[in-house]
Amino acid sequence: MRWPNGKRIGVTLGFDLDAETMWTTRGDGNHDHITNLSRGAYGPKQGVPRLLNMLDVHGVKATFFIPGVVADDYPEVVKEIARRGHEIGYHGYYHEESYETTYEEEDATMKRCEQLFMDLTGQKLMGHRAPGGVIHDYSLRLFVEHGYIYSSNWRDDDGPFIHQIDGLPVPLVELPKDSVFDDTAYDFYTDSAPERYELKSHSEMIEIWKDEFDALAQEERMINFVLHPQFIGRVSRVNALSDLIGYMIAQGAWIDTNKALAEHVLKNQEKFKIIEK
Amino acid sequence: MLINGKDNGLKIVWPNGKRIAVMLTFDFDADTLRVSRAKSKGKTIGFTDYSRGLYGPNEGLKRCLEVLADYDVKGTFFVPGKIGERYPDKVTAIHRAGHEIGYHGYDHESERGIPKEIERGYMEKSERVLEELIGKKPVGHRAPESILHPFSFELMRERQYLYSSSMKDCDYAYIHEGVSGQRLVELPGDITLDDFTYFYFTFSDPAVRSMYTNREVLEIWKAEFDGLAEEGDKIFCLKLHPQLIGRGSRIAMLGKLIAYMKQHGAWITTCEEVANYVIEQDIRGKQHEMA
Repeated sequence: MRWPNGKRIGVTLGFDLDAETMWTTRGDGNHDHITNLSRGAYGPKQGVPRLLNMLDVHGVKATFFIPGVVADDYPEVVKEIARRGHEIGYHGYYHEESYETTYEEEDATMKRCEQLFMDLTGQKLMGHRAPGGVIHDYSLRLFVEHGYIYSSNWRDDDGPFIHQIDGLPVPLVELPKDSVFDDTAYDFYTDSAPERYELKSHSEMIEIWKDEFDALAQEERMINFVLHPQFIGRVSRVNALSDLIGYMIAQGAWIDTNKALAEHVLKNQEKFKIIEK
Repeated sequence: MLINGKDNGLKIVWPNGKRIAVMLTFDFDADTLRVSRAKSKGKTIGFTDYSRGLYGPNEGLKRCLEVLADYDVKGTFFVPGKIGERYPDKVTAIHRAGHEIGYHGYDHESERGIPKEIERGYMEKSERVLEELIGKKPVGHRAPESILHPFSFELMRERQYLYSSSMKDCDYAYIHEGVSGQRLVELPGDITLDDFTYFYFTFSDPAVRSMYTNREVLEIWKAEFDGLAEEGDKIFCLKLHPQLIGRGSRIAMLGKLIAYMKQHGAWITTCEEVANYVIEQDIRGKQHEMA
């Protein structure tokens, strides 16, 4: 068995608490779009308290990937997330999505955010989910140098796997993700450029996730969810996600933080793949 | 203001043991919806889309008023000044039936970056038109295409508005912090609770190209209603357009939803009445206590 205590599948609930940066980093037109920015604020203001209560009901811990600026804007919200036992992961300072970012710039942004979250919550960041999915050729090296034990960026595997650099395994676990497990594929609608239409219902979204879960559990694989409190934080979706969590627990899922899964993989390396990217 | 990760709402208690305040709001914008949208998208208006806008005054509005009368509930209609000038009888009929009339631009203007004086001019002009028709100035503001300006709340206070209903930052009513003593209530909504999200179908620009069944939309709205009602201190501000929801089958679906909400503890009333109640409950005091 790959997972602890006879569990069939590893599941991580990764929440990207982008707040207003979801809007300020997409298209030029949102910096002064008051009601679109207010949709971003829904995440920390309404989505987070509702989600934290739901997670407590099931007694499961999650990982919140939080841009540094969101912690500066909503420090009490970030402290509450940590106080309730959840992990905080790296997600840029301004949710930077540029392919032009240099090694030195990215290194500095990571250091800045690590210090910020340490001061605010006492947590040391241990994992990286790139804003907008933008990864650089130096990224893996940087993660290792910063002592991170996982990356949540690749999409080419149902995972998890251990990274290798220059032919040698490194203590860095990949917890892969995919759009199919990203709530924005279903619940992110906007009529502002770049437009996104065809909102899906909560029941369609959960049906797709449940089917994937059943198939991956048979293979003893994992699911790394990508969830956005400003969208999935609506009550209809929180209740649907709660139903899914209940189902997954009953079906033998180990639901824990990204950090906990990565630690398990590092301790049981013989059971997992090692891959050079 | 309360943003601490803990508090999920302001713990307001609705009157008579009701579980949730429900506002059925109708943006009665007719063809001005398409005209301003085409402008903001840099597209031509298109006859079919223009003509569909007129389905609102020609067909949809009557059905909207009928369903509200059938279930004996009051709604809120946000009406551009130009529509008041073109359809005075329809606007006075809405008012005579006991529904509220609110501000929604003069020509449904959604241009961004305009100066304050221009916006003030739209408000003055529309308020005058509506006041002549119904005998009072509107007290509620719904921004066309949800476009608010940096000075919008200041203008609403200056012009003695009671509430704004354009923000999307939470599911509860709150009071805008401001310098003046006047209290401006916010009654937020969401794209999930907007018929435009499901029923605005067009070939003219990149908008919704898929039709939704009434069953799908009713399922989403019911799930939102149920969850919010359970939390106890929330509002359910449904945003509808007579040109979209006004089709026969959709009005029948809306009727089912209204009946369901009435049976499950909804206080269904106008935005004005909810805003007044929110002020009476001293929500601002609660906002500060919890901050």
